[in-house]
Order: sequence, then structure tokens, then C-alpha cells
Amino acid sequence: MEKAGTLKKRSQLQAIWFRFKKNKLAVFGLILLIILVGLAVFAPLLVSYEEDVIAQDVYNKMQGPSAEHIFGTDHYGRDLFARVIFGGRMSLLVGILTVVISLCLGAIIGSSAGYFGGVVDNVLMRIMDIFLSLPQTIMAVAIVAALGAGLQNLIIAMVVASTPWFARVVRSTVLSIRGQDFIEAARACGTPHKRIILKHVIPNSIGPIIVQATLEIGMAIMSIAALSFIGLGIQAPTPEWGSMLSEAKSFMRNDPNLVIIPGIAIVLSVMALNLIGDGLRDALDPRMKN
Amino acid sequence: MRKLISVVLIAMMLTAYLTGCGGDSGGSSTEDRTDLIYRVKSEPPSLDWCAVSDLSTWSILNQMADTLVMKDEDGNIVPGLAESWEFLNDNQTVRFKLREDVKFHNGEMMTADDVVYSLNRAIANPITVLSTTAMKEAEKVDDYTVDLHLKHAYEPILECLLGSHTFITSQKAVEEMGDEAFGRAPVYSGPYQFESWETGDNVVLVANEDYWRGSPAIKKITFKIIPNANTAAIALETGEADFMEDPDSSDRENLINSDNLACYETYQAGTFYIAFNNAEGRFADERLREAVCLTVDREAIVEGSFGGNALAISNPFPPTVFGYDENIKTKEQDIERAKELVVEAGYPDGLTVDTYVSDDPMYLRPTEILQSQLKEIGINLNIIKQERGVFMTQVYYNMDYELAVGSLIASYKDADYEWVEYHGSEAGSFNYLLTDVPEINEYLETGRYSTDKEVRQEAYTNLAQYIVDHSVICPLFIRMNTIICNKDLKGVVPDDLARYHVFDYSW
Repeated sequence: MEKAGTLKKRSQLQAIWFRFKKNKLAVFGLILLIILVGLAVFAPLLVSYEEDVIAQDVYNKMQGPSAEHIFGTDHYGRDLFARVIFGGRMSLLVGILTVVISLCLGAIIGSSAGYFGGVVDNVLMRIMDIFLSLPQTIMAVAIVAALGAGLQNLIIAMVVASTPWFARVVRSTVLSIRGQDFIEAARACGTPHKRIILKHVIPNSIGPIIVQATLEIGMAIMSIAALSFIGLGIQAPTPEWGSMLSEAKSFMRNDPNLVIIPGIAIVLSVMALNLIGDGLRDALDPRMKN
Repeated sequence: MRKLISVVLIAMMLTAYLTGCGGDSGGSSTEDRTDLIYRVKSEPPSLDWCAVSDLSTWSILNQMADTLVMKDEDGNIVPGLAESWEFLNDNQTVRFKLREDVKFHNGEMMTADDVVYSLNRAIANPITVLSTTAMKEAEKVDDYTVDLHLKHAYEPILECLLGSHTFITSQKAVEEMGDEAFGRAPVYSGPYQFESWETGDNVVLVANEDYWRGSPAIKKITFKIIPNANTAAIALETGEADFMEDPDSSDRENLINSDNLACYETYQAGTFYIAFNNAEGRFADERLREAVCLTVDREAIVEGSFGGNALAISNPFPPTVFGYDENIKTKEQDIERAKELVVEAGYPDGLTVDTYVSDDPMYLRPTEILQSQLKEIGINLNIIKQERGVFMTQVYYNMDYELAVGSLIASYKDADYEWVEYHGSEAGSFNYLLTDVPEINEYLETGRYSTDKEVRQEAYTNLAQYIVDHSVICPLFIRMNTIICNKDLKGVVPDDLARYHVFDYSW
């Protein structure tokens, strides 16, 4: 029994991978993301935070690309390449962290609402609706403005702003599973609710959640950049793509590379995540099976 | 088909964008122009001279209002609304003989009553007190004679009457309209009179044809409100505006190289410095203040913040004010000693300091460079960016700070303007350094109450020396007062107090 189970699982994963692989764009997105994550993870091996990222050398500012500085230097003479990859560390870290935390919270809220229904569903989802009534970024701006800028508050704001979206997605998938026979069977056996939710409901609704999570990381990266751009996100001298754009915008005319490079970094990472998300959605959709 | 349409649409957007940018730059002749478009940074809160303290509103007021005395091109004090003046009563009274041909914008003729009213209004007001602090009361002698009584003999009194704190207005206008309405549509006696004000967009002034110095060559000034300096620079290049002050250092080069524009600049009569809270918090300890002063690399700050276009200073006063002594210099940079001082002060592991800064690049960039420099001696600045208004409340009014980059622009060109910043009696009001030091108070008092130039100079030399020795502040740099304007505009002169008079300009 055990063996057959794992065998079946693997073949299901293989089927998903097979469908995913056929989508050229999604594969491209995946490769792009691997490169970006790789750069972010191994950034400290490539450049030194103290010497390249935050140490200023104002007499060498606004240098064009050269062997020493492959993207040139910024308005304080800091190496742009080092700042972009360290900025990516920040963006990806905050993006992934935000999504993981809000996914967990959203899954708990959404699955409880969907599974129990009735009053619980009504109360939880109306609260979520209140949060949803404001656009995500504006919600985050309001929270950061109230709590004060900084990494921790930024994450809190992003979590609060994106949890309702996960709750909604999870609830809708749970609703479609709730009435199915195997849940009834589990109930009939007297399985506790917690166990049913964790062992049966969530694993079966994981597909749409993963898709939503992938897309949400991209959204989160954009929101972080937007918040940092207006000065509410990561604070100087820690580099972040949005704050790099904001700092460079007054130098844009003479030194466009100062905005183009962090701009491209944002575009590439969000695009990669969106391509992967789209690919996953198609791959996980059972109706697309051929 | 769809592809084709999208390609066509994109092409159309691009052409619209590109031609839109090119616009009608330069081409048109300026010979027969009689108007001027003057960019200002922000919406004036009011046009009542007693209600404002921001430079960009003064740019407007300077065109509309007159003072009793004026300055000529060589910097001599010459008659303005007052024809002549004499010092009476041991220099404790100035008697002004007024012109009899001055007409206010509302058609009223100026009399002694208006002058007395205007001066007394400024003396009683908390904003204009910066310039009126030595004045006691203005008193009418006859219809065209006014006595200005002083609290004590005061050398720079005429300097104090030159600026925007002591404009003269019509008593009838203010009293009939009320302060608020006066602020929205003011009445003065200057070369331009108020025409219209569109909130958030522009203020328009037109020539006062009855002006006592003659009608101005430029007949209409439109003050266009463009908050972002980079946007303003583009407006200048495309000819949408003719005149701006203080471009961002990143645009300066482009603007100077532009064929249509001219640049005029001079050093500002004011200093930027690191302000320390001398009374509360960790920087009340002189050793920490000295450590900061020994670490700062001013040249790097000037280079990094302004592309080198500012003056690194090691003297607490600007060179163009009376009382400046070029021999006063801060200590030489000495990082090793600075590190020792931080340890001696009791912070062997360094310290983290919350540093508030307004989001204006002229404060933000120096602060960011400072952050990188002070890191070397273990002082970590945690920069907290704030909107200008919030920053001013935090640091200047509530004095809830330890260290911040601040600036003080002279209200009049005499070191006595520093009184408000350092004197103990001002601690907690204008004096946000919270210094109340007997020596400083004494030097300032000698400077204020003496009428002997040499005694005063010595007092200010001692004051500067004390400030440097005890690291009360850490002088950083002096900015440029820069004008960028259409190159065909004639008569433009830079000014260290940024008092520009369109009356002198012509096309």
C-alpha cells in the first residue's frame, strides 16, 4: 500500500512537470528565477556588503560600466551591480517571507471558513472583505505609515494586506472539496476537524494555492518596490530596488543606467514569477490533461 | 490584423511623446515679450508678510512690497520708502522722513500711520521677530515722519529693515480685509500688484503703473508652482518657464549647457551644519560632539551632495556677514582621536542614533554621506526620513532629536542673526541647540549691545572660537544661491540672501 502511494504521487508530480515543461515561457521564467535567486543567495560570496554595497566613494560617482564596476557606480560612488544583487536579496526575501506567512494565515482562515461554513464563514469572510475593500498597496501604505518605516513593519503591512487574498482563494477551493465523499468518509470515521483540514482538505486544494502564492510573490516584490520608492520601505543605506529607483530618479537624464538597471531587475523577477505562475496553473489544471 | 493595429498605436504614442517633448522650445523671439514666468517650489501659505517664513513665498512678496530702506548694486543702503533718516537719542531712535508720493495698490497714499502700523505689526509678530528683535515701537511724529524706537542702541538696525520681515503695507487694507483675506489678496506699494491666485497652480502679479520708481519693464509675472526641481528644470529647457531658483545639482550641468538659458550664482549668506542637542541626550557630552567633528569629511559631502558646487566650511559663520573671522577653523580631521573619544565617552561598542531628516535632497544627501562617514567611528545613524513640515516640528519646534543636519540663513547680514540660535534666552524657542552657556550669552550680548565695530567683531570672533572649540555645532558647507533663467532676460544679479527683484529685469 505504502509503496503504491508514493509511486502514484511521484507519477503525479512527474505529470505536472511534464505539462509544465511543455510551456516554453514557463520554463524560461523558471530559469530566470533560478538565476535571480542564485545571485541573491550567493551575493555575499560575490561582493562584500561593507565594502561594495554601502561604502561610499563620492569621488568615483556616476561612473559608466567598466571592468571594476560592471554596471558602473551610483551617485555616492557605490557599485551598482553589488547594490542590485543585494537589493534582490531584500526584495526576494521580503516577498517570499510575506507570502509564506500570509499563506499560512490565509490557509487557516480560509479553510476554517470554507470547512465549517455558516456563522464562522460569515464572520471570517466579512472581516476579510473589509480588508479587501482597499487596494493591496494602499492598505500596505496605510499600515506602514501608521507603524513607521522599517523592514519588520514592512513585512507586517504586506502580510496584513495579502492574507485576505489567500483566505479567499483557499476558502473557495475548500468549498468545492468539502462536500466530496472522502471527506464524508473521514468524518464518519470520527476524525477530528483539525486533522481533516490538515490532512485531507488542504493537500487537495494545494494546486490553486501554489499558483496564487507564486503570483503573489511577484505582486509583493512590486509592492515592496513601490513602498520603498515613496520612502516607506527599506531604509538607506540598505539597498532595495524601489529605493534605488527613487534615489536615482533625479539623475535619470544624465545617468539613465541608475534607473534602468534596478528597473529591469524588478521587471525580470516579477515577469519570471508570473510566467511560472501561469505555467503552474496550466500544469495543475486537471482539465488541461492530455 | 491585431498585431498591425497595436504596432500602429505604439508608433502613434511614441511620436506624440517625442514631439510633445520637443515642443516650442526656444524658437520664439523674446524681444517683444513683457511677461515673465517664474517657477516657485511650493504654494504660498499666505501672502501676508507676517504669516510666512519660506523662501519661495518671499520670492513673490519681494516683487510686491517695499521696505523703508533698500540696497543698491554695490551693497550700500539707500533710501526706499523713507527719503532720509537720522539717529537720535543716543542711537536709540531712528527718525525716518517718508516719501510723499507713494501709492498703495488699493489707491491709498502712504502716510506715517501706515508705516507705524506695519512696523508695529511686525514687532508684535512671532515670525517677523527674527528681524525686529531690537525694535521697541514705531511712533508717528507727523504725517510723513516716523520715529522707530529701539530697545537699545543697535548697529545693524538698517540691515534689519531691508528684508521681508519689515514690509510696509496699507493699514486700511489690512484692517478692512482682515488678516486672512489680506493674505489671499494683499495690498503693498511695490512695483507689482496682486492679480490672481489659482490654488496649486499659479499666482499672477501685474505691473503697478503708479509705482514711485516708475513702471517696471516686465508687465506681468506668473509664479508657476512646480514642486519637483527636476520637472522645473525641464520646464525651463522647453521654455515653459523663464526663471527658477536652486535647481537640483543633477540638472545644473544640463541647464548651464543649454543654449537658451543663463546661470547666475553666488554663495548663500547662511550655513549648513550638524546641529547637536547640547542639553539632552548623548550628544550633550562634548566628547561625542567632538568625535563627530573630527570625523566629518566636508569636501566629500560637498562633492557627493552637490557635485562640488558648494563651499565646504570650517567656520560657523558665512563669510558675507559682519562678524566673520577667517582665522577661525575647526580642528583637522583625526579619525583615530575620534574613535578614542567615542570610547572615552563610554561607548566602546559604538552607538546608534536616530537621525531625522527632511526628504529634500539638500538635507537628505549630506545626511546619507554623514551616515557612511560616522560609521567608521562606530556611530550608526538610523536615518528617518520625514516630510519637511513633520521634520521641522520634530527637530526645530519640539527639539526631540540628538543630531541632525540643519541650516540657518541670515535674516540680515550681521552675525547678530545667530543670537536666536545660540542665546540661552532663546533656548527652547528658536534655539533648538538648547545652548545656555554663559560665555556664548556674553559674546552675543556684547555683539548686540555694543556700537563699536571693533568690540563687536572681537565678540563674534570669540563666539566662533567657542563654538568650534566646544563643538557646539559642526559646520559643514554653504550652498549656492543659483538662478537659472532665459538667457535673454537682462538685469539678473545673484544675491546671497536670495532677494531677487524683477523690477530690475527686462527682455
